[in-house]
Amino acid sequence: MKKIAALLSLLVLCGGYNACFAKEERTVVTFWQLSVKEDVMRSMIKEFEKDNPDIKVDVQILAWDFGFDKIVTSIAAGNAPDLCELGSTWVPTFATGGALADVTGSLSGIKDKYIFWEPLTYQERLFGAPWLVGTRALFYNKDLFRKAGLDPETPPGTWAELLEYSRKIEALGGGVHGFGIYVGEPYTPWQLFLPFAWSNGAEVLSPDFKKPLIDSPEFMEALYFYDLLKKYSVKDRQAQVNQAFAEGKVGMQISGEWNLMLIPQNNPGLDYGVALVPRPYIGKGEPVSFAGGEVLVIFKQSKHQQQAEKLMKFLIREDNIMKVVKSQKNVLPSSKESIKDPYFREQHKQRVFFEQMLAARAAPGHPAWQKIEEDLTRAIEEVVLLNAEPKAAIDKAAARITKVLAVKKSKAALSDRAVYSLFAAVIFLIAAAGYIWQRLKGAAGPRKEKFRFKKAAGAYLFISPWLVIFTVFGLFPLIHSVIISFSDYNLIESSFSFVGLANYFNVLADPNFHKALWHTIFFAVGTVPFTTAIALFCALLINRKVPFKQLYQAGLFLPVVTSVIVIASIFSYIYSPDGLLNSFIDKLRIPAGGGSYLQLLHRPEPSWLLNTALALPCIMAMCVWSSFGYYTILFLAGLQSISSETYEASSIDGATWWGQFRYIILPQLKPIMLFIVVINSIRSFQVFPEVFAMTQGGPLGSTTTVVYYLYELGFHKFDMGTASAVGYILFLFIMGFTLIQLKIFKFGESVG
Amino acid sequence: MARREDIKLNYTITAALVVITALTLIPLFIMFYTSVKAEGTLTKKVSEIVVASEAGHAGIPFTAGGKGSVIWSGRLNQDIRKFSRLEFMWKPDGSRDLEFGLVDALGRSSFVAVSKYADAKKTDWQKITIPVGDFDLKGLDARNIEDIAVASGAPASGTLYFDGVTLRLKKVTLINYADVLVSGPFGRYFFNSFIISLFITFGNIIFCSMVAYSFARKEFPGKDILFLLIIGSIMIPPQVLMVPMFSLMKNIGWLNTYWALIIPALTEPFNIFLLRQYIKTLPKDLEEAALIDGANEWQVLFRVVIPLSKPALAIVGINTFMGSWNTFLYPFLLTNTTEMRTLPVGLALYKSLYSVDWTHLMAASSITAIPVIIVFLCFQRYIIAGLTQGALKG
Repeated sequence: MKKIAALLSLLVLCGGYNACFAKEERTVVTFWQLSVKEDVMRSMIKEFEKDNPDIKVDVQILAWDFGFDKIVTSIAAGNAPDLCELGSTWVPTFATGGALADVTGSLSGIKDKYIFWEPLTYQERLFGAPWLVGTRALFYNKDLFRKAGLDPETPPGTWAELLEYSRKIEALGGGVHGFGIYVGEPYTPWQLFLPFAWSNGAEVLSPDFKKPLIDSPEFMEALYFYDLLKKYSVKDRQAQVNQAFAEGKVGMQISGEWNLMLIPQNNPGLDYGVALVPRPYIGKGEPVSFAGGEVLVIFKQSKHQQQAEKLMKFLIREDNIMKVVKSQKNVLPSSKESIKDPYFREQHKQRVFFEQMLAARAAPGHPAWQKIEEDLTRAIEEVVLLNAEPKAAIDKAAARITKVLAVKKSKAALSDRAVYSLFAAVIFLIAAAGYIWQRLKGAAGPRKEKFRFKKAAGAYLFISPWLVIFTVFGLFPLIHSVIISFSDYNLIESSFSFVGLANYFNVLADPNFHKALWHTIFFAVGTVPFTTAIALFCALLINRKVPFKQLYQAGLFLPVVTSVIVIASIFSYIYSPDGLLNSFIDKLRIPAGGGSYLQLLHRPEPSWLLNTALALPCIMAMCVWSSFGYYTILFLAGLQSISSETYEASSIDGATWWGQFRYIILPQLKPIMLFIVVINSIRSFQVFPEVFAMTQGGPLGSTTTVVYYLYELGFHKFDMGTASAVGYILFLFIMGFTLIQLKIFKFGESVG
Repeated sequence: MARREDIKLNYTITAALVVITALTLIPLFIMFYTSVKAEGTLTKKVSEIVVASEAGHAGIPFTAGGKGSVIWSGRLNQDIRKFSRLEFMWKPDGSRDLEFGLVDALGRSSFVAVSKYADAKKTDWQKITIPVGDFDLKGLDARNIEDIAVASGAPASGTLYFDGVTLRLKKVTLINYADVLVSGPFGRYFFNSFIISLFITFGNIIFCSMVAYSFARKEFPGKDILFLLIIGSIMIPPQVLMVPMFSLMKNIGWLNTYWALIIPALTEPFNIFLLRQYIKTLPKDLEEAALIDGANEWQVLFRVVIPLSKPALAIVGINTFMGSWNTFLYPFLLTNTTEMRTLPVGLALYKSLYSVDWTHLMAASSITAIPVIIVFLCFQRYIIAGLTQGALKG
């Protein structure tokens, strides 16, 4: 592999450009971070560079969208930064993967001054420094408290009160809910629920991480309580609940500091309070909350560990942390001393958060926590969304978690010779595909004429730009990723060993993959015909002699420039429990004086996007709606090649509208139609951003498509080998599907 | 000529098209509308902020301090530039010489006299409206106005009666755009995005036409397999190629360069496929005529095929420009410095983890969308150019 890379790099370097870095006397330390605003960070770095003239800090602000993916990709390519911000839940995975440097020695002197060490500790060594932390506290709407006859200055202190207050606020009606429970996404459901269990003295895992303890009476009590609370709660994704709370539609929510910013931005007039989370009973249990945070880690790959440590210590200095806290206003400091800062005297709500932080816990530091949290979320969603019996749901989850805990990572190492055999296999596969293709084609029609060499040379010259670019930037990554798909390749550990077809077999045997594949097929089959039909219909309409053609053209195409987030947010609103669709249904049902079939329409439970049967069709409807305009324009362009004489001639011949369509338009449009169907199918099979923005694969995995499954595997579970195998299985699948389509359209033979 | 039914049908079709167009334009409209809101979300608009509703109704007695001694203040914590006017109810009592003012985080303030806005004859409750523009904000940090304060204009004593202090938000404001644009070197981001998009768009129009023409009209060994490779390369999920692509760029030293963002995108398979399909729908007569007239293959391509393919090329142009202008993942992965950031990468920094600041986010989205809309409007007349008819008649 390395040889090929070197050869290639040599080739391309001959062409000429190399990012050349001017030689500098100072050591350059790269630092990647996500949390702190650019100007605040730069001013701190300036100060650091002044104190340390021998160090230059190259700080990069990553975006939250895919910021994590960038870190992972860079580690895999050996290009990791020296110092990096990381979410605390990732630390165990990175630490066990051997990606992080041990910083126990350099932090030993200052350890007592900070909190939030648990997630950073692995086998009694420290793998990072706590930086900015966050927790969840109880938000309550004082106006709704007043309306429900509750004292707006006494938030609920116990579970019984929380339940009672929620009931009273829910009883107000008018779309107002008592409490907010998070479901329908991977992380928040367990983050909201676990503190209830912790408060009651329950644990998820035994201290030695050998077995799950979630079937303990304490844990079950919390879940039964949750089951009661759900009756008076809005069940939605966290962002939606936060939004609803800000708009004054939810009585209470347990959420993070960011709401202190969100509420004034979205509804400055809201009168609300912040309090510690309730405890189980008076005099029993603690008001434990969930703690998360951003920590600073140094990668083992770093060549400037000492300098990076210096920068790390500088950034976690109490005054620097407070600078960030004051400018961000949505995080808390990890330094204990900061409680004395005047900021917390003035900002009462922030102070509540700080107090809550002292009684907050982080997720257990098990390296496979990413899998365990999935099982917890599933159990909680089963109880909240499907009304499953709590005990049954927990027993199932316990069985799954036991399995996860039992897995020992085994390394099946294969010799590097396998690389070459794999190359051979790849080439063989391509040749085989080509042969099959020729046979298919040969059967389809008569052989074409013999080639002339000169003519062929000209043809090759014409395709040479693609050929060159594809060979370098298409084929090379492609073969690289095929090889990855045959190996056990962990992005974090950068460990690489050949396992042959094991990844493919594992994927094909995974029931989750079957589900994802089924969802994907359902998605493609359910959207492509609709999109194509609507697009063709609209194109035919616009192509008639109607006024304002360009207006429709622009109107249909321009939604494509609107980003997926906007469209997803609008549709989330349409589908939300109090959204457009439900109120429309309500309106329809009102005039029914008798046995109207409209009476059959119901608001789905619990809501459109949280219903496991409806979530995927909802996303499909959104995709059809947001993409048909684009294909309309393609059809419209295709229609332009039909000359007006053809139409006129056929009109004179007395052809009907259908006749014209069937015998003139359709045959002429065939090549473009083929293009649209093929491209639309490929895109549907690869659907990802829409799912990511709408449901993140939930609820209960009912919208997990193949590419989403792949993304989770590769970039959250770091199993790039299996993820690549998924990619190529999908590739073969799409290829088969496309070949069938080409066959139907009699590719190559039909026109010209 | 046109029969009555035809006219009727055309009316129906026009009406249907107007409805469909309106429906599809909703998100774009919401995006722009939210971007000029002062406060609120995609679905909710906020029009005012009540600073203090009951504080001064019963009256706050005050004794003679000096000029400008603060009698009452209410917490605001807002960017004052978003507001159009300050409104409250006021009852004159004793001293009419009162001043309302804004105080920023550092304690700097700006006051205006209430009497200027009051009806001098009235002695009962009356509504006072002070335009925000009347406050002298020059010395203040207008982004962080911490308090609204009432002070006495002259040494006097009396009782202060006021009620319902409300700040009205501007109906339409460009402040979100201004905030976004000053948050980073957006000139540079624009430049990067523009250069990259320009090269990729023109590269695709020329190269893809060549490749597509060859695939549509010529015969050469391996044609079908190569073409299948083109379609096949669209079928691989891009997530699988991320890591290999990154390590390739690292190995050839192209990280953080324009090359890495431009060169691989110069021959998009999508465009080749589209153009090939389009060229196939064109009548061959013209090309054959040109060849008989002694034109070589290049002339046929550039003089005959490309002009005839304007509708498809317009789509290639719009599509490629839009794609390269909006592309986020590769520029984000492959660049490391502020100077190399493209517009979407710069704007992505505007999103924070949990809270969504809709007005600013929509302003950022609009900033990316506007150039694409302009390009579309420029290219769109070629889509229904109807050149073929004219050309064939000749």
